[in-house]
Amino acid sequence: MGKHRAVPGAAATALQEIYECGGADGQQDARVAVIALEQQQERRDQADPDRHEPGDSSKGHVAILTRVADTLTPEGAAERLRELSADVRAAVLLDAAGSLAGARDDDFEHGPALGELARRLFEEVDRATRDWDAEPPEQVEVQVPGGAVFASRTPRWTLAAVAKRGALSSLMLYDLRAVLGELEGGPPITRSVSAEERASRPATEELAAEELPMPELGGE
Amino acid sequence: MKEKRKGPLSRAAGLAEGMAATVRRMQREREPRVLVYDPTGYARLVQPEARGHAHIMELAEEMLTLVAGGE
Repeated sequence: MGKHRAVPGAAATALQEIYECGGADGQQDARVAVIALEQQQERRDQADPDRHEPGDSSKGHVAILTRVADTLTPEGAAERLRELSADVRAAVLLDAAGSLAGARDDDFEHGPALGELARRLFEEVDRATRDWDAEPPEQVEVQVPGGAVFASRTPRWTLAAVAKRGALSSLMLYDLRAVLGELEGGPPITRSVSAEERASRPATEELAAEELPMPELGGE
Repeated sequence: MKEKRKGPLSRAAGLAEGMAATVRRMQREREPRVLVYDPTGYARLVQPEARGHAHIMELAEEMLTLVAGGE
């Protein structure tokens, strides 16, 4: 591979662990990656000016790593919307029968009341647009002094959000549709995680395997 | 085509016009209104005098008050 260089004591121990592990199956590969990362970080911590080098390849490149979010449940849909948009103050999810399936606001108190209002909101919208020569509305935006209400629905779910004043309509409506799409079994929303944030997490075998997927060679 | 401005005063006036237009646009976007979108994303305005408009606004205001009251 190239020239070898002396490594500090802790890193040498880590390397020893790698050599003793041996083998070439996927799990051990993941473990090697974790130890290598730790070793690099330690070396960076102890580096003197002559031997300073990047602790991780992700620091050399401004890496944007994407992480597949967990499977979205109806209970988590409102929370997911709040994660996506900082302008959302509260969100509720209703099922096809108009019952509350999930809610999220700052103090967890207004879910049922908000759900009932959201259900009535779409009822009123349907009533107002009944005579229109158009398909039933899928999304609603109501701008009122002090804020806005956005709602989106599919045949199975209705998601409504109370947003801050000045929230961008297009973004809010897009986020509502994205969360509903994921709930309906569509592709999960991926969120970018900065390399620094990722490095601050504890290194585990699972995370290492997630970061460095090792293709299984020789399989069918 | 917009006429190119010459001189510092004209440029300053141009900047002021741009800012005023932005403020007007932001105010217009915050005006009370009800918009509905069909599945293709086409937006239609529910006219203030339309049936149900007032009730929709009331419901939205109620939702906002509920959330604001909890903060």
